[in-house]
Amino acid sequence: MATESSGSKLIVRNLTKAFRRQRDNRVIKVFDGISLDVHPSEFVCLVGPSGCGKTTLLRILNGLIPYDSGEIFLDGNSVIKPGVNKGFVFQDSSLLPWRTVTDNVILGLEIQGADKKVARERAQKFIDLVGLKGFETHYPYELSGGMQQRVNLARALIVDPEILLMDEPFASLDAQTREIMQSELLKMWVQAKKTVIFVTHQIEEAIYLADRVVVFSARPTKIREIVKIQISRPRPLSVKRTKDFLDYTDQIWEIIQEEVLKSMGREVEERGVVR
Amino acid sequence: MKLRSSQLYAFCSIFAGIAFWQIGYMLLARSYLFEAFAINLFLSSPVGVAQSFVELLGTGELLTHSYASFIAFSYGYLLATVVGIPLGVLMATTKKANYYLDPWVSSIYATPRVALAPVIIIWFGLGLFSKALIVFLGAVFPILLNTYTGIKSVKENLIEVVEAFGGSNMQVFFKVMLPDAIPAIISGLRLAVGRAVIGVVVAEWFGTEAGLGYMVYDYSMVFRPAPVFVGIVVLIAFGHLAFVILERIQRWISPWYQFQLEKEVEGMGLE
Amino acid sequence: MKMAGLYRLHERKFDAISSVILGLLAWEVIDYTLVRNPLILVGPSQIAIAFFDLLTKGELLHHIYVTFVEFILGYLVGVFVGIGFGVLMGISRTANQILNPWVIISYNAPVILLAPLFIIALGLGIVSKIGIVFIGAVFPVLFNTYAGITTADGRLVEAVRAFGGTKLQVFTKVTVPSALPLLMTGLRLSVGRAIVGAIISEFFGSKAGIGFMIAAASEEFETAQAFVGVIVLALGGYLTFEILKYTERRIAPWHDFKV
Repeated sequence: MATESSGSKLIVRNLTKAFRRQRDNRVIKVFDGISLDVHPSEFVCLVGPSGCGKTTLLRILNGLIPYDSGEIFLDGNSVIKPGVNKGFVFQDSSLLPWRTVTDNVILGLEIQGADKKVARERAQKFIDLVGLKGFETHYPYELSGGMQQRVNLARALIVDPEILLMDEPFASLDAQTREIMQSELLKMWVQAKKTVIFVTHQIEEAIYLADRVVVFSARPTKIREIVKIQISRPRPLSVKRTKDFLDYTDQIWEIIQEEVLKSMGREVEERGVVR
Repeated sequence: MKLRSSQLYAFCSIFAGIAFWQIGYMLLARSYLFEAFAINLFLSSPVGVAQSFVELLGTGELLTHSYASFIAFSYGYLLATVVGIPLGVLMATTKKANYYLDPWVSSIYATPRVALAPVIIIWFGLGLFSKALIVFLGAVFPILLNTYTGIKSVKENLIEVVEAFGGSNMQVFFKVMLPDAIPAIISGLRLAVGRAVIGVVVAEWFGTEAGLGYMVYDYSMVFRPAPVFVGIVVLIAFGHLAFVILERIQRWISPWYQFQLEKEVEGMGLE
Repeated sequence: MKMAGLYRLHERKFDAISSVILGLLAWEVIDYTLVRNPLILVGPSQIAIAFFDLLTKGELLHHIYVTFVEFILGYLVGVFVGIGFGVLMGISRTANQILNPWVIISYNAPVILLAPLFIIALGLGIVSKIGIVFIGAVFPVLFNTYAGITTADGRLVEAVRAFGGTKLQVFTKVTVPSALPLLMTGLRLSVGRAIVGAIISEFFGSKAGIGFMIAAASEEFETAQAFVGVIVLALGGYLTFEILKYTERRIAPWHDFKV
């Protein structure tokens, strides 16, 4: 297939992936042919029932786990292994506890062999961007959950990745902090102009943040639908209570509800505890 | 505030305990039981112990023996650290090394050092090395095991972070595994202190003319129990000191460790 | 191809066994060719010979029996007292506050130092030996019982209380079961200390027992015999370990066993 079709940033074609469960050697098919195009500077959210493999997909896109068949192209290049052209933001606190904020932010650059001093200077810009000015010498355990996630973000942005992959980064935050972070994220995104793929469980979060929301089915996972969110930007938090927003919510929730019900029965069967 | 009250209780309890001991001893001394069972041959009062302490200090015996024990302790302990940590790292990172070494480590671990002591004396003589070896055998296992566990239980997501940035295995090791394992390693060092102290004592029973273990044995044989208790107190104090010092070091090097532990406990609760 | 698969499946055991065999072979070779002096090293073959020698003469079994009796009696008393006081400290805050500092001190103290005094006080018979074994065994059991009881999951306790459970019910339905794993750990730790106690007590004047056997053999520089004693102890300890681990699994199967 064409390696660069209509200037897409990320192209995924017919991706399949299956796991062999250690416990009893059972094969669990996760993806059964996923195809997706992501455009430059687009914000795409992935939602779906638990276990549908959203996180797995993200990890495959990053090169952390291998896939079975299909193709993935980032800017026309095949994706095989992890690297700084893809920024990954993890779910929970994955900051190195023994490093200061600054040193955590420069981790990616360090790994790629950058000079520490230069890196630290560059880090300042991103620390300011995420709103943590003044906390450069703090340690992660001295920061709140929301602040830690900001450091996470800065760390991912500083390596100037082609694409930003975010794995439920706000899942461990309380509701209020979560809303604030969503709003902050959008502001930063506008400034940084990155392509983002964002995995979340919360439908409202997905609709609020995204240009398009990709809705997955239950396993074996396919893409059920891609919903284009036509709410104009910039989006204040209040937009969550507009009619359009609620309509989108209904639309997506219906699909997911169907899939969740389908998957519940299958889950018990799959857990396969032999009595 | 909370800390103070429990510490106060502890003090009172110890103080009361010692007082009871003293009073009990004095009462016992007046009773016929004392003579009948020759109690003063194996038991001493707190006052007696204190007196003995001063006496031993004065003759210089306490210091000489303590010093000798300390040397043996340090030698063996250092050896245990130098061998235990790298081996622990090796066994945690290299599967083959783990599989090959495990049976040996486990069997030596299962063998009571006391039983090995006489054989060690025969093979290596009566000198400092034998003592150090016996100390080593006691101290090396907590250190090795804790290092091993520390490295093995590095949080997966931290390793993934480095991998996500395209880091090599070496980078993962030095940037994540080692720093994360340090608090656990220090815990191992703390555990090793107690076992090393016991090792010194046992070693000295067999093979030398110096050291607290020897001193204690010697005085027991001439039916003077007070110095025995002095010896125990000194050893307890030393062990406790080493323990606390290491704890301080641990807290200084890795201040986040407390939070990590608390979070883990919390985490388990939230399951 | 199948061999390779088989190997991978049991890789750990294969490697362990081959490592041991290689190690023993190397040991034997070194001893036979280079050393040949029992004062410096003793080879596995000689140890094996000594082992069978002692076994057939009936001496070995006698020593094992004697040590075992000392061990088991002291151990049981230690466990009994340890659990008793551990429970006491666990449920009574006053008892805890009074006894706690002493327990902490004694747990790490080289109480083994008191061994000679025990002998003087209780004579050369089996009583003093049981006493020394007891001293070794009691603290890990006590400590772990106490820890097991106090770390019973607070939410589980609340759950029983929420259904109107009495204190006794809380104790039997929640505290005791959740304390079991730690209790078993304490029992296991005590085995090692108890064995050490038995051996040391025999060093100080005994006419039988593995400890005595090792000491006597060492005095006559019969290193092979001494080693037999060492190995017997190691095996005995290992066996007791495994028995306890097995019991642990039966009694408290819900606990996560990693070691």
